[in-house]
Amino acid sequence: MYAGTIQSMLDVLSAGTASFISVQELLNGLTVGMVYVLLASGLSVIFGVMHVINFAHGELYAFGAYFAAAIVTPLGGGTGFYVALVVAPLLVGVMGVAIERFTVRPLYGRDPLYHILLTFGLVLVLNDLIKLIWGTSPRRIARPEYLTGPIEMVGMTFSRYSFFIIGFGGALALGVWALLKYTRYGLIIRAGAQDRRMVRNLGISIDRYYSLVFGMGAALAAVAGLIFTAGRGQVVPGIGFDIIISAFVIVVLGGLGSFRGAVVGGLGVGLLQESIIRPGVPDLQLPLVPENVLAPVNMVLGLLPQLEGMVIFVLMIGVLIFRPRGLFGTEFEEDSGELLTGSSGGFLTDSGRFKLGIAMIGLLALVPLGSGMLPSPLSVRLIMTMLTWGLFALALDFIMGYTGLVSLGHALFWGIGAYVSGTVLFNFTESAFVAAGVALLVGGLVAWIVGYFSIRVHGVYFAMITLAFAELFHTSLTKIDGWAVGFCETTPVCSAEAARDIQLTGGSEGLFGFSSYWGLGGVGVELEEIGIFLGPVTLTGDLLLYYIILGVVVASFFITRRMLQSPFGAVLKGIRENEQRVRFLGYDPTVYKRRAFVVSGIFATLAGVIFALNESFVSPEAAEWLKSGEVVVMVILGGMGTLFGPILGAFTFFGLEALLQEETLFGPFIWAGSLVGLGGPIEGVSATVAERWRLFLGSTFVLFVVFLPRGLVSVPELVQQRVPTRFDPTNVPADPEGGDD
Amino acid sequence: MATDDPMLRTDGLVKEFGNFAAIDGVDIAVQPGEFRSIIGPNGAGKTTMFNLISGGLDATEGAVYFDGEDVTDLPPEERIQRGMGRSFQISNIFGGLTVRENVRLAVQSRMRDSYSFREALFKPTGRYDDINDETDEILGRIDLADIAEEEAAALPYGDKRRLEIGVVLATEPELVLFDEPTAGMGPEETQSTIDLIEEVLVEQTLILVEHDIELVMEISDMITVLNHGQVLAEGTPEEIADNQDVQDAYLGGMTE
Repeated sequence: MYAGTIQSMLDVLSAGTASFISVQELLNGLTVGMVYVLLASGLSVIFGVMHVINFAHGELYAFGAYFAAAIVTPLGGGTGFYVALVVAPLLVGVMGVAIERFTVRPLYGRDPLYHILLTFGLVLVLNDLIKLIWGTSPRRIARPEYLTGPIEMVGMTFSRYSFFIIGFGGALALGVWALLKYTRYGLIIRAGAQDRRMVRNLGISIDRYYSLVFGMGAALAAVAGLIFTAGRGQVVPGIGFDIIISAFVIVVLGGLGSFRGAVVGGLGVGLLQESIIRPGVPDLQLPLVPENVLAPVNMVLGLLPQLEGMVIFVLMIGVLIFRPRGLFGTEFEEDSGELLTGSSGGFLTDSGRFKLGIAMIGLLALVPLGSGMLPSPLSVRLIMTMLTWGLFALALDFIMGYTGLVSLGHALFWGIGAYVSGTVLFNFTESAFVAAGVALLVGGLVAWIVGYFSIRVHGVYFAMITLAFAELFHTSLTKIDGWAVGFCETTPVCSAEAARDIQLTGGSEGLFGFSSYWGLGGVGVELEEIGIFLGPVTLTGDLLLYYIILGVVVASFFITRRMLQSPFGAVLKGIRENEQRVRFLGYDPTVYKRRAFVVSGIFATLAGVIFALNESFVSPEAAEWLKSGEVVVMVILGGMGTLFGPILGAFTFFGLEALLQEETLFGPFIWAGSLVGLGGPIEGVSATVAERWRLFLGSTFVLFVVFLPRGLVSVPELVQQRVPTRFDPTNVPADPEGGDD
Repeated sequence: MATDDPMLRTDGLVKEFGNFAAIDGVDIAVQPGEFRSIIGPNGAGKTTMFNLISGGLDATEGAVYFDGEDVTDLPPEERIQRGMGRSFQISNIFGGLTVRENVRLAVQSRMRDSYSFREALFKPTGRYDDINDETDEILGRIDLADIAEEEAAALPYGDKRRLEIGVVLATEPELVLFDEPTAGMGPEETQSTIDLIEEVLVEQTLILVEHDIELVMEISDMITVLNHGQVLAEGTPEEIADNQDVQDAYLGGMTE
């Protein structure tokens, strides 16, 4: 009887949608959507209650899948699957509790942006932990027989497992909703999401519930990871990376902190991606609407499949601009904890630091002269990378350290610098000056546009909107050539042969092997043609480029420093100290922040240009979100708001990487160990460290965020505080001229 | 507009927070050169009124006229550019900057249109003679010249309040809004702060929110008494002192 009803309902449904979306595609969308719901609801509730943006959520999702694979493999797909469905989320839940207890908790009360930094460090740690434990070869999660294979209904075949995901995920989501809605715990958690302070004032220690919420969110992510990877594809280390950004999009669309928003957003994005955009939709034909009105609509609809992966970011940007609270989010009190900038105190005086800086530059200038003699970690290539990233970090610091805007999308500018200069060199002219000029122009323009839309939103929302812009650009990189070809074919502007040769971005491969000369209009030199002979060393090619890069970075440092001493910089410092007061002095902070963003964008673009000139190749990796995260890490590592701190941070970052990757670092230990018969194990450890350097880098970074948030530049001051007798500040003669800028 | 316009006028000003009207139809008019005080019991709407005038909050209804022009929809920075100045209840200075930098930032805001793009972006602030001269003059007037290079956050409380006044003064406002400038001060400090205000801002129009009734009676030209978001009484200090409503609603209930 029911079967008949369902039959007729499905008939109506399929008749109604046949021309638009097929039932299979609808089911597909709901399946993916339900996985998103489980992933995003935990992320959203964690944000709602603790105001923590958890980048590590994707890694917890991956851990869920890996634990499950580890359980299912020995036990088999029958019982093993059901055991895994219970045990894996529990294990990941415990991990979540531990993460909250030992890393997130020390940061409550600080600006929420520190949580972004912390959880980004955790991403590095957890991702390498996965590789360390399970290796990099793909795994599978076997399903019970009952849940595999197709199912025949109303003359169509569906995947049984899709029904399982929708049913099980739906029941779980319903359970969480009921927990939040009807239990005492749920009440306290919901109240905490509204107003934490008020809950505390009622005598409830909400902090105790934080671990629970974090653990629950982690367990939900684990379930999502398990059921999704068991259904399609393999368990590989990158699955967390790949899905986390989509999860953020959903959380933002639904409204940060809203459970209902995560459900609607998850299903909505799933349907949009899988049922509408990927398969594409046929032209609309509405009886009452004339053809010429529908034509442009259909043209846009026809383009949708080509925009796969981009539409959600456009949506995200739109929501952040017009409705920052998302569909269901409520207004939340934005904590504006202090951003801890690097300090300039300590036992180093201004002139002392200046001399130190000059000495450093001098030392760096000598490095190429000793090339061939220096140990490999200190090679010229490494320092060129350090300098380039130092410039990138300096650019980010200009906006982050001086106006408090944490951009999670600065890879956009690095990518523009690399790609625009790359494409100019590859397609149009080999003049490095023209390439750099065009790139800087484009970078500045994009910075103005992105700044125009982004500066109006604050704090976490700013981080999210810049992330969305960068991802939009990143996704478009693999599509631009296709668009250009399409454009070429449909317009008489270019010939068919020209269309075939188009290589603006080189798709997912990127652009390889462009060369450049230093000059204009064909007049100039290639660095390989020059040779400066200095005793045993000949400066040419890369070694000359080294000096160019060093010069650019030093010049950029002095230019930005000068800007910060100008009236413009004085206002930026004022904004950092007290934005509200700046308004009541008659300055519009938005205008100044936007200008700072453009300056920052231009210098970040310059870093990207240098990268392209140095490497002679670009690939879409240049603009991925990991880059944006890494540069933030460098700024914090060195100490933000100091300009030189971030450069120091970049040197430390790559220095650590090189050292950890360099097995000879452990040479002495291996030798010492071999004397007592432990050479083998120590060698093993050194090989592991070399391979898993991100694990150690991430751990170092987490320790920095928790214990040394002002970065390396604050070390002299800390030393001074710890050793008061030797560096007694009262013994330091007051400097009447100093501290004026 | 005619020259005998009030410096500041509000017209049926209303500010609602949800269903609660913190300010409920207030009309006031402050003449140029006047020293006006706004008093009232806790929760009467004094600070809300200040925020509506200075742009810190948007009015639900009604209008604010400054110097004859409607400024109701302008953001704070534009009201400041037109000649308002505001001090805050809690010292609201730039703690990480030196005393001199605090004042200089305020002086600079008034002069910024006179510099070229290149100058504004690359010439160090310390090399602008006009800004430096003005800054020195103000530091002298607020008597903080000898500690000009100290970090503002490290100043004692009274000096912070002086700096706060100096920062307001440096923007050369025609109308200054003071939100409890003597809050938390002892009698001596209070007196010297009031002396400072009267001395350096003698030509300006002043609006003061203050708790200390005796002080208000002593220094104001006119007093507006707010209660439950409405004007309870308005007049000279003598008239207010004699007003029975005021005594019932406010002075009677006030024991300090």
